[in-house]
Amino acid sequence: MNSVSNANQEQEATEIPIVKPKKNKRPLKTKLFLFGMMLIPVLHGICYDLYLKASTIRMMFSDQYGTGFGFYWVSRALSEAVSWNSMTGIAIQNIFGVAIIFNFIGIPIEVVMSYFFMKKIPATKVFRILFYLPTLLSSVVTTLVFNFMFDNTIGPITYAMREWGWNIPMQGLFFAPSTGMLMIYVYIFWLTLGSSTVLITASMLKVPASILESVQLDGASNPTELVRFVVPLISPILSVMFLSNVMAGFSLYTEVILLTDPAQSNIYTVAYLVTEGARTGRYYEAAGRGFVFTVIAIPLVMLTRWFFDRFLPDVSY
Amino acid sequence: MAWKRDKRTTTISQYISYWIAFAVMVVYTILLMYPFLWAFSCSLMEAREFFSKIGQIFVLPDKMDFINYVAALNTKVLATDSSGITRQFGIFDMVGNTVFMTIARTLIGMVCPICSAYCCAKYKFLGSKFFFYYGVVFCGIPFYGGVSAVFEFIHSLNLYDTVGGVLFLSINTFGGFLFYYGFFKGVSWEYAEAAFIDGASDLRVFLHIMLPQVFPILFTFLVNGFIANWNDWMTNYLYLPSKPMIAYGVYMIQEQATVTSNWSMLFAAIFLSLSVPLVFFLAFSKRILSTVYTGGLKG
Repeated sequence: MNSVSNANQEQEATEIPIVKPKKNKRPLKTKLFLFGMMLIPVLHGICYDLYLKASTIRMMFSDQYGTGFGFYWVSRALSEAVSWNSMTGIAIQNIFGVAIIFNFIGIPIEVVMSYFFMKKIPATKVFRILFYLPTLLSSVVTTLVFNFMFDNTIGPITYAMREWGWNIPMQGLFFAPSTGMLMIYVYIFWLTLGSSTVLITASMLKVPASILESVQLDGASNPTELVRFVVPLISPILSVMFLSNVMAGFSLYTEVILLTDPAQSNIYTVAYLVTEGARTGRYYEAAGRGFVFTVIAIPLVMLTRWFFDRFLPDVSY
Repeated sequence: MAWKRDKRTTTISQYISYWIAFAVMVVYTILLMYPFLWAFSCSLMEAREFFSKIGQIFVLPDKMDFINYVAALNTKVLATDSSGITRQFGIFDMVGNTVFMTIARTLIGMVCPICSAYCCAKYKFLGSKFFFYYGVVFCGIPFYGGVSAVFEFIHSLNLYDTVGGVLFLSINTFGGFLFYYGFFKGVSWEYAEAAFIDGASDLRVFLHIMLPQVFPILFTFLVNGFIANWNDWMTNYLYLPSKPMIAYGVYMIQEQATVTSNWSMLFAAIFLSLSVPLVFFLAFSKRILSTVYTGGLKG
């Protein structure tokens, strides 16, 4: 009995006590490295960004003279927004116009074109390069080159349209209020149809070949294969494109400046109103309008994201 | 699908639909390329010949004449700075401005997100998660009207219409941050640990071990960033109007040329401005398109 208890005591004495390991301290040089690497990103990405946001909110909610708190600029922008023919009202209509046209007409066409690229129709590689090329050119060049086609003095398409009996407005298709925005849509369509097709094709090519082979073995036709199998499998890229088309209406600036004269053609967009306001020193007016557009954009983005999260299948392959 | 039908895999209706699709693609390609080909053809004509052919859909120059390209190279635009001094800028001046600004802006635009993405991906430190989620969530919320604050800020620091101001605005902390974060997350840390045992510092590990491993992808981003900055006219127009770069310069040439109806010279200037992006595209087309293809989302 004694020998057993002695043995236990000895065992306890020789057992290494369990000590909680000390937290591994990071060397000073690593801390300095992290400090150096993160200094500018934190200063710029957070401090400067927060300063800009705070400054914008201050401008939005200031009085008429920008000296104190008030609702002058916001209420002015809100009262403009509810008027159908005001600049802010027109910009809001254009947000929805772009979103509807490019989502409900553009995306279906791009999906069909991509499907044929996936099926490797003749000269697919050449098409893909040519379709993508214009997006790598300066927007000044693409807008100018497109504009020449419809110029009232030199445009070959304008001349052809006149010969075919079309009634071209005196001030030109881009400058007439009745056709200006339509021409901007045509321009965006012309430019982005190909590049968006290339993007969707990239996504389609990632759909496993085994899935498509089994679909074909089951005797599915091309439309069935596209609508019931391919489209659900590429829904992540489609949701991203849908969302970016919703946001595109907010960011039309270059097209408006380079293709039209907003004062003449009565075409206004969010980016044009906000940027031109700020560029010409009307900071508070631009910020007030920015508030209205932000109030529209946030729920629009949230709603779109919620819709896709709720109704699109969770795809993994 | 090959040019000829494979009877085992393609039915006749499928084969016909592919050829209809091919025809549609050809039509769209013609529509896409026609304005560029028309302008290029007109850039090779003398002014008299151009005016005599106005209204024709298909125009070809009687003889190839590069006189408009010479005129474009010699043309000058006027830009006035904030102190009221007006200077002349030729194409070569604009290209010089563009080369400097493009390289500087591309590098500045990439350094910040690369550094922060590397630290967030490979180190845990106070605020790293906050920084990550701030960039991902908060910067993803649309916020309009901020450009007023940017203008006020750069005016208050006397940075408006200065190179320093534009370079400051080129810092883009969260631009591409998620991409870089993903790349660094995917790189094994074992090489770094081995280097630390050999006595390498954190900076050396970052520069000599981690960066080279993601360099091919970074290079693709570099090429895309270079082309985007080369083509960017808006920053120049908004924040640096007194030092025209080539994209904004073409816009200024256009304003002059439409007044004097010197269209052919304008077309020539446009194609001169396109030469660098086109050379870049031809040289790096595989890399540029690979970004598109690696970026294609899947579930």
